[in-house]
Amino acid sequence: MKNNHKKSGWQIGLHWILRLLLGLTFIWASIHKIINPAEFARIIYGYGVFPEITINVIAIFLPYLELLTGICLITGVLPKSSLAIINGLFFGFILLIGFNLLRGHTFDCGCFSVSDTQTAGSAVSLLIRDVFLLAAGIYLWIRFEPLGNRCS
Amino acid sequence: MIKKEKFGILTLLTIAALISFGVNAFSPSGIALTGQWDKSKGVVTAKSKQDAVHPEIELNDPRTVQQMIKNKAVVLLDVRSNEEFDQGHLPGAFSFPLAEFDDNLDKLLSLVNKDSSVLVYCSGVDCAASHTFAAQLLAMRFMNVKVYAGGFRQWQEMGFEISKNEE
Repeated sequence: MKNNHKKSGWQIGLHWILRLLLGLTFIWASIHKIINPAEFARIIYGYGVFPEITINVIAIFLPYLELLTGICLITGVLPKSSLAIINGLFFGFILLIGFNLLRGHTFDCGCFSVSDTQTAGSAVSLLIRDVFLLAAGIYLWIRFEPLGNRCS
Repeated sequence: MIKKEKFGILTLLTIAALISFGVNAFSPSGIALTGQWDKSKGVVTAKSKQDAVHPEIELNDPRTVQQMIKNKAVVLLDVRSNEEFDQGHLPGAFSFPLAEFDDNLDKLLSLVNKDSSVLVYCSGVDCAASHTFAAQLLAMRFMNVKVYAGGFRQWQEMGFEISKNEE
Protein backbone atom coordinates (compact mmCIF):
# COMPACT_ATOMS: atom_id res chain seq x y z
CA MET A 1 0.00 0.00 0.00
CA LYS A 2 1.34 3.40 -0.98
CA ASN A 3 1.70 5.97 1.71
CA ASN A 4 2.11 9.44 0.32
CA HIS A 5 2.64 11.10 3.66
CA LYS A 6 6.20 11.41 4.82
CA LYS A 7 6.56 9.64 8.13
CA SER A 8 7.91 11.50 11.10
CA GLY A 9 10.69 10.12 13.28
CA TRP A 10 8.33 8.94 16.02
CA GLN A 11 6.16 7.12 13.45
CA ILE A 12 9.17 5.30 12.07
CA GLY A 13 10.21 4.46 15.63
CA LEU A 14 6.71 3.23 16.49
CA HIS A 15 6.57 1.04 13.39
CA TRP A 16 9.90 -0.54 14.24
CA ILE A 17 8.81 -1.14 17.83
CA LEU A 18 5.61 -2.83 16.61
CA ARG A 19 7.51 -4.94 14.10
CA LEU A 20 9.91 -6.04 16.84
CA LEU A 21 7.06 -6.67 19.28
CA LEU A 22 5.11 -8.86 16.86
CA GLY A 23 8.17 -10.55 15.38
CA LEU A 24 9.79 -11.37 18.72
CA THR A 25 6.45 -12.55 20.15
CA PHE A 26 6.14 -15.05 17.32
CA ILE A 27 9.78 -16.17 17.52
CA TRP A 28 9.58 -16.62 21.29
CA ALA A 29 6.26 -18.46 21.06
CA SER A 30 7.61 -20.89 18.47
CA ILE A 31 10.67 -22.11 20.35
CA HIS A 32 9.13 -24.41 22.99
CA LYS A 33 6.77 -25.83 20.37
CA ILE A 34 9.66 -26.70 18.06
CA ILE A 35 11.58 -28.31 20.92
CA ASN A 36 8.62 -30.41 22.06
CA PRO A 37 6.15 -31.07 19.22
CA ALA A 38 4.51 -34.00 21.05
CA GLU A 39 3.50 -31.78 23.97
CA PHE A 40 2.33 -29.07 21.58
CA ALA A 41 0.19 -31.65 19.75
CA ARG A 42 -1.35 -32.60 23.12
CA ILE A 43 -2.14 -28.91 23.73
CA ILE A 44 -3.81 -28.60 20.31
CA TYR A 45 -5.82 -31.71 21.16
CA GLY A 46 -6.80 -30.05 24.46
CA TYR A 47 -8.44 -27.16 22.61
CA GLY A 48 -11.08 -29.71 21.58
CA VAL A 49 -11.71 -28.07 18.21
CA PHE A 50 -9.46 -29.65 15.61
CA PRO A 51 -10.19 -32.92 13.75
CA GLU A 52 -7.91 -35.71 15.00
CA ILE A 53 -6.25 -36.13 11.62
CA THR A 54 -5.06 -32.49 11.57
CA ILE A 55 -3.59 -32.26 15.09
CA ASN A 56 -0.09 -33.59 14.36
CA VAL A 57 0.18 -31.71 11.06
CA ILE A 58 -0.64 -28.43 12.84
CA ALA A 59 1.82 -29.26 15.65
CA ILE A 60 4.60 -29.84 13.11
CA PHE A 61 3.87 -26.94 10.75
CA LEU A 62 2.60 -24.03 12.90
CA PRO A 63 5.73 -23.44 15.05
CA TYR A 64 7.97 -23.11 11.99
CA LEU A 65 5.46 -20.78 10.34
CA GLU A 66 5.53 -18.63 13.50
CA LEU A 67 9.33 -18.66 13.55
CA LEU A 68 9.69 -17.86 9.85
CA THR A 69 7.13 -15.04 9.80
CA GLY A 70 8.60 -13.56 13.00
CA ILE A 71 12.10 -13.51 11.51
CA CYS A 72 10.88 -12.17 8.15
CA LEU A 73 8.88 -9.35 9.75
CA ILE A 74 11.93 -8.18 11.69
CA THR A 75 14.51 -8.64 8.96
CA GLY A 76 12.35 -7.13 6.20
CA VAL A 77 12.23 -10.19 3.95
CA LEU A 78 8.65 -10.39 2.64
CA PRO A 79 7.55 -8.27 5.61
CA LYS A 80 4.04 -7.44 4.43
CA SER A 81 3.29 -11.05 3.54
CA SER A 82 4.62 -12.09 6.97
CA LEU A 83 2.42 -9.48 8.58
CA ALA A 84 -0.61 -10.81 6.72
CA ILE A 85 0.07 -14.33 8.06
CA ILE A 86 0.75 -13.02 11.59
CA ASN A 87 -2.52 -11.07 11.58
CA GLY A 88 -4.37 -14.09 10.22
CA LEU A 89 -2.93 -16.29 12.98
CA PHE A 90 -3.83 -13.78 15.70
CA PHE A 91 -7.36 -13.65 14.29
CA GLY A 92 -7.49 -17.44 14.43
CA PHE A 93 -6.15 -17.53 18.03
CA ILE A 94 -8.79 -14.98 19.07
CA LEU A 95 -11.58 -17.05 17.52
CA LEU A 96 -10.23 -20.20 19.17
CA ILE A 97 -9.85 -18.71 22.65
CA GLY A 98 -13.17 -16.87 22.39
CA PHE A 99 -14.99 -20.03 21.32
CA ASN A 100 -13.55 -22.03 24.23
CA LEU A 101 -14.36 -19.22 26.67
CA LEU A 102 -17.96 -19.09 25.46
CA ARG A 103 -18.47 -22.82 25.92
CA GLY A 104 -16.58 -22.87 29.25
CA HIS A 105 -13.91 -25.28 28.02
CA THR A 106 -10.71 -25.27 30.13
CA PHE A 107 -7.62 -25.51 27.98
CA ASP A 108 -3.87 -25.15 28.00
CA CYS A 109 -2.88 -22.08 25.97
CA GLY A 110 0.50 -23.46 24.96
CA CYS A 111 1.46 -19.93 23.93
CA PHE A 112 4.83 -19.54 25.61
CA SER A 113 5.21 -22.82 27.53
CA VAL A 114 3.68 -26.28 27.41
CA SER A 115 1.97 -26.25 30.80
CA ASP A 116 0.02 -23.06 31.32
CA THR A 117 -3.53 -24.28 31.84
CA GLN A 118 -6.01 -21.44 31.51
CA THR A 119 -8.68 -20.53 34.01
CA ALA A 120 -11.56 -18.42 32.67
CA GLY A 121 -9.86 -15.27 34.05
CA SER A 122 -6.49 -15.95 32.48
CA ALA A 123 -8.14 -16.91 29.18
CA VAL A 124 -9.82 -13.50 29.14
CA SER A 125 -6.46 -11.76 29.68
CA LEU A 126 -5.02 -13.97 26.92
CA LEU A 127 -7.83 -12.86 24.64
CA ILE A 128 -7.23 -9.20 25.48
CA ARG A 129 -3.51 -9.61 24.80
CA ASP A 130 -4.17 -11.19 21.39
CA VAL A 131 -6.72 -8.49 20.48
CA PHE A 132 -4.12 -5.85 21.37
CA LEU A 133 -1.46 -7.59 19.26
CA LEU A 134 -3.87 -8.01 16.34
CA ALA A 135 -4.72 -4.29 16.58
CA ALA A 136 -0.99 -3.52 16.41
CA GLY A 137 -0.69 -5.81 13.40
CA ILE A 138 -3.64 -4.20 11.61
CA TYR A 139 -2.22 -0.72 12.32
CA LEU A 140 1.10 -1.80 10.81
CA TRP A 141 -0.68 -3.29 7.77
CA ILE A 142 -2.60 -0.07 7.10
CA ARG A 143 0.41 2.20 7.64
CA PHE A 144 2.85 -0.21 6.10
CA GLU A 145 5.70 1.25 4.15
CA PRO A 146 8.84 -0.66 3.23
CA LEU A 147 11.70 0.45 5.48
CA GLY A 148 14.72 -0.66 3.61
CA ASN A 149 13.25 -4.13 3.14
CA ARG A 150 14.37 -6.19 0.19
CA CYS A 151 10.87 -6.96 -1.08
CA SER A 152 7.30 -6.84 0.19
CA MET B 1 -4.40 -7.69 -1.10
CA ILE B 2 -2.17 -7.28 -4.12
CA LYS B 3 -0.65 -10.10 -6.14
CA LYS B 4 2.83 -9.54 -4.69
CA GLU B 5 1.66 -10.22 -1.13
CA LYS B 6 -0.30 -13.30 -2.18
CA PHE B 7 2.83 -14.67 -3.80
CA GLY B 8 4.82 -13.81 -0.65
CA ILE B 9 2.31 -15.62 1.58
CA LEU B 10 2.42 -18.68 -0.63
CA THR B 11 6.23 -18.59 -0.60
CA LEU B 12 6.36 -18.36 3.22
CA LEU B 13 3.82 -21.18 3.64
CA THR B 14 5.81 -23.38 1.26
CA ILE B 15 9.16 -22.67 2.96
CA ALA B 16 7.64 -23.28 6.42
CA ALA B 17 6.12 -26.56 5.20
CA LEU B 18 9.40 -27.77 3.69
CA ILE B 19 11.46 -26.87 6.77
CA SER B 20 8.93 -28.14 9.34
CA PHE B 21 8.23 -31.53 7.78
CA GLY B 22 11.89 -31.95 6.85
CA VAL B 23 13.15 -31.24 10.37
CA ASN B 24 10.38 -33.36 11.88
CA ALA B 25 11.42 -36.35 9.79
CA PHE B 26 14.97 -36.29 11.12
CA SER B 27 14.56 -34.81 14.61
CA PRO B 28 14.76 -37.26 17.54
CA SER B 29 11.75 -35.49 19.04
CA GLY B 30 9.78 -35.71 15.78
CA ILE B 31 6.20 -36.97 15.74
CA ALA B 32 4.14 -39.08 13.35
CA LEU B 33 1.94 -37.32 10.79
CA THR B 34 -1.13 -38.62 12.62
CA GLY B 35 -1.39 -39.33 16.34
CA GLN B 36 -3.67 -41.48 18.47
CA TRP B 37 -6.33 -39.01 19.61
CA ASP B 38 -9.26 -41.41 20.00
CA LYS B 39 -9.99 -41.72 23.73
CA SER B 40 -11.90 -44.97 23.22
CA LYS B 41 -8.64 -46.57 22.05
CA GLY B 42 -6.68 -45.71 25.20
CA VAL B 43 -4.16 -43.05 26.21
CA VAL B 44 -3.95 -40.29 23.61
CA THR B 45 -0.53 -39.59 22.12
CA ALA B 46 1.13 -37.72 19.27
CA LYS B 47 3.25 -40.86 18.63
CA SER B 48 6.62 -39.19 18.95
CA LYS B 49 9.91 -41.00 18.34
CA GLN B 50 10.58 -40.71 22.09
CA ASP B 51 7.05 -41.77 22.99
CA ALA B 52 6.60 -43.68 26.21
CA VAL B 53 3.04 -44.68 25.29
CA HIS B 54 2.83 -48.35 24.37
CA PRO B 55 -0.77 -49.43 23.70
CA GLU B 56 0.11 -53.12 24.14
CA ILE B 57 0.56 -52.71 27.92
CA GLU B 58 -2.75 -50.89 28.42
CA LEU B 59 -5.80 -52.26 30.19
CA ASN B 60 -8.91 -50.49 28.92
CA ASP B 61 -11.70 -52.36 30.71
CA PRO B 62 -12.48 -50.79 34.11
CA ARG B 63 -14.34 -53.91 35.27
CA THR B 64 -11.25 -56.06 34.67
CA VAL B 65 -9.24 -53.57 36.72
CA GLN B 66 -11.89 -53.61 39.45
CA GLN B 67 -11.71 -57.41 39.56
CA MET B 68 -7.91 -57.38 39.74
CA ILE B 69 -8.01 -54.93 42.64
CA LYS B 70 -10.68 -56.96 44.43
CA ASN B 71 -8.58 -60.12 44.05
CA LYS B 72 -5.44 -58.24 45.17
CA ALA B 73 -3.83 -59.53 41.98
CA VAL B 74 -1.79 -56.38 41.35
CA VAL B 75 0.23 -53.74 43.13
CA LEU B 76 -1.57 -50.56 42.21
CA LEU B 77 0.52 -47.39 41.72
CA ASP B 78 -1.01 -43.91 41.44
CA VAL B 79 1.51 -41.63 39.72
CA ARG B 80 -0.43 -38.37 40.05
CA SER B 81 0.66 -35.72 42.55
CA ASN B 82 0.35 -36.37 46.30
CA GLU B 83 -2.39 -33.73 46.53
CA GLU B 84 -4.49 -35.42 43.85
CA PHE B 85 -3.93 -38.78 45.53
CA ASP B 86 -5.09 -37.45 48.90
CA GLN B 87 -8.26 -36.06 47.35
CA GLY B 88 -9.21 -39.47 45.99
CA HIS B 89 -7.65 -42.62 44.61
CA LEU B 90 -8.41 -46.23 43.69
CA PRO B 91 -8.72 -48.52 46.74
CA GLY B 92 -5.42 -50.08 47.77
CA ALA B 93 -3.32 -47.78 45.57
CA PHE B 94 0.09 -46.49 46.63
CA SER B 95 1.13 -42.94 45.79
CA PHE B 96 4.25 -42.72 43.63
CA PRO B 97 4.21 -39.37 41.81
CA LEU B 98 6.07 -39.52 38.52
CA ALA B 99 7.97 -36.36 39.39
CA GLU B 100 9.42 -38.10 42.47
CA PHE B 101 10.34 -41.39 40.77
CA ASP B 102 14.02 -41.31 41.72
CA ASP B 103 13.38 -40.08 45.27
CA ASN B 104 10.89 -42.88 45.94
CA LEU B 105 12.78 -45.68 44.22
CA ASP B 106 13.90 -47.41 47.45
CA LYS B 107 10.35 -47.31 48.80
CA LEU B 108 9.08 -48.75 45.52
CA LEU B 109 11.62 -51.58 45.50
CA SER B 110 10.63 -52.51 49.05
CA LEU B 111 7.05 -52.86 47.84
CA VAL B 112 7.50 -54.73 44.57
CA ASN B 113 10.01 -57.03 42.95
CA LYS B 114 10.69 -57.51 39.28
CA ASP B 115 8.16 -60.36 38.98
CA SER B 116 5.34 -58.51 40.72
CA SER B 117 2.25 -57.61 38.74
CA VAL B 118 2.18 -53.84 38.74
CA LEU B 119 -0.69 -51.68 37.50
CA VAL B 120 0.01 -47.97 37.00
CA TYR B 121 -2.56 -45.22 36.50
CA CYS B 122 -2.81 -41.44 36.38
CA SER B 123 -5.71 -39.08 35.77
CA GLY B 124 -7.04 -40.51 32.51
CA VAL B 125 -6.54 -41.12 28.81
CA ASP B 126 -5.22 -37.62 28.24
CA CYS B 127 -2.39 -38.21 30.71
CA ALA B 128 0.81 -40.00 29.66
CA ALA B 129 2.45 -40.01 33.12
CA SER B 130 1.37 -43.61 33.77
CA HIS B 131 3.08 -44.73 30.56
CA THR B 132 6.23 -42.77 31.36
CA PHE B 133 6.34 -44.37 34.82
CA ALA B 134 5.67 -47.84 33.36
CA ALA B 135 8.42 -47.33 30.77
CA GLN B 136 10.90 -46.61 33.57
CA LEU B 137 9.88 -49.84 35.35
CA LEU B 138 10.17 -51.82 32.11
CA ALA B 139 13.62 -50.32 31.56
CA MET B 140 14.53 -51.68 35.02
CA ARG B 141 13.44 -55.13 33.75
CA PHE B 142 10.16 -55.37 35.60
CA MET B 143 8.30 -58.17 33.86
CA ASN B 144 4.60 -57.53 34.51
CA VAL B 145 3.78 -53.87 34.18
CA LYS B 146 0.43 -52.67 32.88
CA VAL B 147 -1.22 -49.28 32.55
CA TYR B 148 -4.85 -48.63 33.41
CA ALA B 149 -5.60 -46.27 30.52
CA GLY B 150 -8.89 -44.82 31.81
CA GLY B 151 -7.21 -43.82 35.07
CA PHE B 152 -8.85 -42.11 38.01
CA ARG B 153 -11.37 -40.17 35.89
CA GLN B 154 -12.89 -43.26 34.30
CA TRP B 155 -12.94 -45.07 37.64
CA GLN B 156 -14.84 -42.13 39.13
CA GLU B 157 -17.24 -41.98 36.18
CA MET B 158 -17.97 -45.69 36.62
CA GLY B 159 -19.10 -44.93 40.17
CA PHE B 160 -16.60 -47.38 41.67
CA GLU B 161 -15.35 -47.11 45.26
CA ILE B 162 -12.87 -44.28 45.91
CA SER B 163 -10.52 -44.01 48.89
CA LYS B 164 -9.53 -40.67 50.37
CA ASN B 165 -6.79 -39.57 52.73
CA GLU B 166 -8.62 -37.29 55.16
CA GLU B 167 -6.68 -34.41 56.71
